[in-house]
Amino acid sequence: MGFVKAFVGSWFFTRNYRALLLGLPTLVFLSVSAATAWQLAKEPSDDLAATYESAAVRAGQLGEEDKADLMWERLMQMRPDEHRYRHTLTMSLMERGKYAEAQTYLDVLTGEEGYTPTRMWLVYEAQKSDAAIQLTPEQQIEQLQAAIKEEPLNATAHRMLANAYVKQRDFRLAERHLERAVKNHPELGLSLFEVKTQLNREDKAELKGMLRRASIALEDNVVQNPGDAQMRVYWAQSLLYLGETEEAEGILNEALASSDDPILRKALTRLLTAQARQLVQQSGVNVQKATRYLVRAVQINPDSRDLGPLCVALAARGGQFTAEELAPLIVGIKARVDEDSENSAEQLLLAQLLTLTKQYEPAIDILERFGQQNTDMQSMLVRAYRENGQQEQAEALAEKLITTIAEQSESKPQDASTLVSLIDVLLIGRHYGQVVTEVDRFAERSEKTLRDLDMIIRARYVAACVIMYGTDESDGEPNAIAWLEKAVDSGQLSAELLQLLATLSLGENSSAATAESLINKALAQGTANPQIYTAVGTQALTMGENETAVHHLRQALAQMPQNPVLQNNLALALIRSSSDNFTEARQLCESSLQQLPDHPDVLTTRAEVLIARKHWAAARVDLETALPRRSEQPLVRRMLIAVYEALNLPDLAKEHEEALVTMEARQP
Amino acid sequence: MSVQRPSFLEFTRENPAILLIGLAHIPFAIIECIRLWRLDHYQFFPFAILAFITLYWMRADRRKIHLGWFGRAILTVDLLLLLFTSVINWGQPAMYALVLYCYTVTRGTQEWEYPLRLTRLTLFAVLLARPLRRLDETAIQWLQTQTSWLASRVLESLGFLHLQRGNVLEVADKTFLVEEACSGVQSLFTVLFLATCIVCWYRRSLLQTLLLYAAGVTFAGAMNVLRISIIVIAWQNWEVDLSHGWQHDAIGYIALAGAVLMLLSADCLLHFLFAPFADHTYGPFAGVHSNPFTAAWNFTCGGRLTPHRPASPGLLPMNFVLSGCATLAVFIGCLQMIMIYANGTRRFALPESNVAVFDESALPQEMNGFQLINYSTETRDNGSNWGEFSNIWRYQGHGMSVVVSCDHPFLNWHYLNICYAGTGWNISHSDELKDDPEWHSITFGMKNEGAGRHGRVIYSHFTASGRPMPPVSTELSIAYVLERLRSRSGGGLWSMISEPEDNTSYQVQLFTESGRPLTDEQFTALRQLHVRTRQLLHESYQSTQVSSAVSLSD
Repeated sequence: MGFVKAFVGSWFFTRNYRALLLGLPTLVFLSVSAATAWQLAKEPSDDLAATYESAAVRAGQLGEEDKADLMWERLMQMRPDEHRYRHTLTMSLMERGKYAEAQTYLDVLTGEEGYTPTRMWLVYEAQKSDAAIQLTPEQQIEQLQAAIKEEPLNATAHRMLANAYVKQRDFRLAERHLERAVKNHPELGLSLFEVKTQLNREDKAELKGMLRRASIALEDNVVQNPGDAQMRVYWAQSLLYLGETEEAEGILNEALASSDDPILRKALTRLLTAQARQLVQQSGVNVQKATRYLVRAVQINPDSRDLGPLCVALAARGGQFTAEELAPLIVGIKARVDEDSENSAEQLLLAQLLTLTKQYEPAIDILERFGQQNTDMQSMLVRAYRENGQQEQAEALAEKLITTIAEQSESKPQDASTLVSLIDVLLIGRHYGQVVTEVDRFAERSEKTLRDLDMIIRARYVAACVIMYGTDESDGEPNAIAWLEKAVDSGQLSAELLQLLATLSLGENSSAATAESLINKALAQGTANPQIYTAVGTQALTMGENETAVHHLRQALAQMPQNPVLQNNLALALIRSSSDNFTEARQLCESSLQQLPDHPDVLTTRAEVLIARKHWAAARVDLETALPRRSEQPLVRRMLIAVYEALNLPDLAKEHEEALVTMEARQP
Repeated sequence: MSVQRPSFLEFTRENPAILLIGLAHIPFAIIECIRLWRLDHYQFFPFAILAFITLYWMRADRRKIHLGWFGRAILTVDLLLLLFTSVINWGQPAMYALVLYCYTVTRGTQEWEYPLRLTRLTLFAVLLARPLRRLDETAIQWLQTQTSWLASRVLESLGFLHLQRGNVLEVADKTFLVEEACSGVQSLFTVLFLATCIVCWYRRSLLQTLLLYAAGVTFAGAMNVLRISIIVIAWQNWEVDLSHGWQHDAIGYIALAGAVLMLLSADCLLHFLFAPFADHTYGPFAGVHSNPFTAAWNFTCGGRLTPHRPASPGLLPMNFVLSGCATLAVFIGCLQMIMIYANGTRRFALPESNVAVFDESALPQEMNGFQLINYSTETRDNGSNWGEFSNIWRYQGHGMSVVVSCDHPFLNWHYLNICYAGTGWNISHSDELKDDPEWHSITFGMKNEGAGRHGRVIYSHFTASGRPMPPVSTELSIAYVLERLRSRSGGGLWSMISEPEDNTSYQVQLFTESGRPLTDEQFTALRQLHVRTRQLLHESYQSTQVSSAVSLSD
């Protein structure tokens, strides 16, 4: 202890305190540096990260992208495992087109330890037509699988993955993913319903319940976020599946009134075209109604590329459009044709739309400009010339076309497509007999019977035969019926042929027996019996042979029990043959109206049925409902007069009598 | 009666053999000093030599240098090392030999005024001997990395937001310290030299010496932190650019002056704390009863005041040994002079080059599945760590974006890993590739943790004469020594002494980065691309040389 004391004492007394004074700066410096270094060596604080984050956001808002990038990069250094900074920076770089720089970060974010939002963004972007970063479907699935692995309850990822599987037609895997997610996210019931429909799942009640829950959830989402157009579209879609078409349309219309969102416009267009298609599929009598849907679709989304071909198809089935109705569509296609003069499909479509809206001159102009080398457009030009009254040009062009294609046909005698082109131009050139000759020659060359030929060839053959029959008959040719025999032998029983045969068979001239035997021959073929019965029954109804009509229409309905037109016609035949058939006739009307609600013709039929039993008031309602759309139909007026008189409403009856007189005076 | 110290002539007469041995070190030492001059952080060496000579002459008793058996053994090793370096014509070990020589001489020399040896003066020689494996560069680079990091944290704590990539600091509209990113803290060795001066001047103990060196490292780093911080703050607050020109030099000198002042202050503090003192506990006659704590303290803190005793003669007669050594020294000195004469001085100066040595067509639009995207050139300051000129081709292929660059000119092998580490990459592994038995290349993988990016570099060099340069130039290894011996023996004795060293180099490097490590297929493609590009660049370079020679002869 003594040594220690002595040592300490000596140490203190021998120190040079002037040196201490000079060394003081070092002492202070080392103390301060050590404290500072210790403090700074700690992990960067959350406050510092927040400072950088707010600086980055502010710089981004001020458009100082480089500064913002710098801040995000520092945050990435600070928190290397926190991918959201990297994600934000990547998004910023992508927005500015710096794909190469962004790619490096994307590799990290979509690698083994990636970031779910980036994966989903990447897949979403890759599905766009102008995607900057392309991903194969397999890569998309890989990313989405990784996203689900990271976030098993991520409903959007499940939905996207299900969509990806749907695209690959793997509905079972899509179903599995959606079922996992639908528990917590009932809105996914919509996608699940679509998948289950594809898989033909049986339990309709369960499916409907799921769809209803999805619809409610989607509605909730729309209420919470009214601006979400996509959600609104999903909601409308769910209602459409539930059969609530009008509600679906209303939702989209309401949204479109407040926001001109392309998503909404597309969705509403799809809805309207789907309805138009459905109507036409249900019955040919719905063509005009379907036409109105398409016209509305054209007004809403004239840029849609599906609408033009649909309008043309509908016009081929009897749909009528005015030039004003299709003007927006035509303007859009014109612009595209002007941009790309090589696009013959668009040129043809434009000419078709112009033709069907009776704008022959511009159609001819288009066809003359672009259609020199295109046979389809040349054919159309012939028709357009004709419609426009330019018969000479039409004939000349038709002959020229026939010569050209006939030469081609000679060089390819066995080629069916060349034959189709040839008979098409022959039909346009009105060389119907030659059509029949060419087809017969082709069959002979090919060593086939007529029935073995392609359906499209046979359809044209039959059309030519029917026309030839009409021509020969009017010329007093005794063997004209032979053309119809040829047509029946082809096995292609067109509506025109059947109607002609039905008319002949119900007549009283010398051809009736032959026509009846041809009908029996056609029935023996067994390929179009319902159509044959329908044709004969309908014709009989028209000619007032109600018993015959009932017989044939019953046969037809037995084979097509849900056909609303047959139901309507049979009801009419039944009630006209006897008022005792009232119950059956009324049931048929109700059944038809279920499929064609408020259809004026069916309403008129029901009114006739009701009048037969003197149910005047009920008949009045149907007739007044049908009147606006059938105001030019004398039968409706006559029935209304009878109803009003029976109901003791002479003024109203008189009003319709006057209208009827005016109408009959107008008719030749 | 005052005693006069012997004059220089008397001193040389007293120690002729030892001085002659000293002269034998001079030729290669001069060459190595010229080499050192090219390294910024060693440019203090003339002062170190001057300080050594001055202090030795001022303090030595100038009488016979007493070697003793230990001193003679060290001197023998020194001569053998010197002979070895002369034979293989490799200057760096000559500096280690010089350290041994200085140690022997200073250890054998008594101070005139104090009963001490002059051994600590060896520290000056130690400072001049560049360590193997470029540990000096590693050290200053490490210090630069640490101080850049610390400066970055200091700036952040002061509210100056920025991004640090290795040693480079970026603010929104400016990037700082790019050029010095891979140069390290240049002032470290200067500060250590000044610490050595203090230690030698004040005859500090080993403990104080070590602590002062540690303080020197700390101050060099701290001043670098201060310098970097001031540069960034000056720009962000006042838009004054202190990172270039005279302002940059001035702030560097001010920082150095600050470090020196702090070093002096630290020496005072250390002296206050660790100065030895006499034990007066029991008076002047304490003897065996002196205080053990005081004795231990004085032993640790350099308080040994034991007078020097001359060493007894060794086994061999002194004159015989020294004569032999002197003869050998004369031979070695002559050998070195011949080597230097034959090689000339061009091997030590940075050769001339220009960016037009290569043009875009030197590499094709498409090769090995890679497509050329663009071509550019860069010109930097003479002596830039990245090379004065760079011809850069960017290719894409195999899912990679690859930068192919020919950087030039360099003296010897240029180590790229330091440069990449200086710009924020963490080097994960390095390897030597032997795609061509005659032309090896170096590859290293790296990762930028913050950005999550993975980088890969492959590079190799060829010389101005078109010869592939092996990736070993200053490494001490048996293979390297054997290679030098082999290259000397190929053309007989004349070639051993006359073949000039071909040390101007052109560096061909490939660099790629991505978010994921390269696959084996990608790395193979990269290797093949490297082999192909260096071959094409090599051919292009040689054709340029031939055409310029033709035009000259015309």
